[in-house]
Amino acid sequence: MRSYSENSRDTALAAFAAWDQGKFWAMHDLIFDKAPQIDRTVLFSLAEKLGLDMKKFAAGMDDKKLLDELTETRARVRAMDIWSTPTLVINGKILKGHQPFEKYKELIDEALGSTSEGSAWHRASSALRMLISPRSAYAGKGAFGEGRVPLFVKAPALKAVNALRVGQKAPEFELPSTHGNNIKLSDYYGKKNVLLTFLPAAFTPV
Amino acid sequence: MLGVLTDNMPTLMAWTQGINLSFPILSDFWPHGEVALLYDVLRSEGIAERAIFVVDRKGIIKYIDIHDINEDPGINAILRILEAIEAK
Repeated sequence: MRSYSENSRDTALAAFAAWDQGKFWAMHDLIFDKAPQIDRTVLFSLAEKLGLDMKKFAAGMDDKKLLDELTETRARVRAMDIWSTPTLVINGKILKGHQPFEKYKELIDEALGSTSEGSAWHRASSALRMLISPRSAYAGKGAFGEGRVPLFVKAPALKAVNALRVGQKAPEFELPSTHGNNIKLSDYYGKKNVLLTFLPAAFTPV
Repeated sequence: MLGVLTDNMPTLMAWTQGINLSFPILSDFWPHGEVALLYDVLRSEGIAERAIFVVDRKGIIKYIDIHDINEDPGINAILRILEAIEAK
């Protein structure tokens, strides 16, 4: 059996080889579907499934330059005593493993020396909180029933720009959707009424 | 029905695959919260309010509800809105 790290290396090579053919994310998704049953044979079958140019893909899998780059990065990271995912380096300080939100906040605050409401950092830290522990932030008791607490504290709304009212034209937009396509509000003109719901964060009740 | 969140697409895919939604969820991740801001529902922490807008076939806003963010509006509230619009 091949070692875990050999498989990681081959997986990285396969992702880069797919990138060269514009299929990085498609390959990324297939790899995550298959994980942890990944080895060289599986990676080649995934490339075939994606309809990649197999000759180019095979060359990418044996790309000496890329392999050297990966080996060098790996050595550099090991030299910094980083061994696990996730590991974050914030302003030279290393935070290993899954840590509570406060730990990240502490280090980032320290690095920035500012936490004013509405600042870019304030927004980023909230996004980070969601990324780190959407579920654990929810444990407890409260509004959504037994075992839940309100996830969100009172935060000032940003200044109303458009002051929308009933009877006004709804602002047009275009966004990527989970159904794979981009959706515009005007796609529905003349066809359907649209119920547009804004939600604070994934993994919270719809 | 459309859902808009400021989360990135991989997060939304992971979420929606778990709960089997029939309607599309849109990612307002970058430029961050642009559409939420357009509808005045972007909070200073970078996430959207729990808000419902009903837009008719001509693109006119028929209903606005900006809900308590920690409260689940529930399906009944939404059904009442739709009934009211159909009745008009």
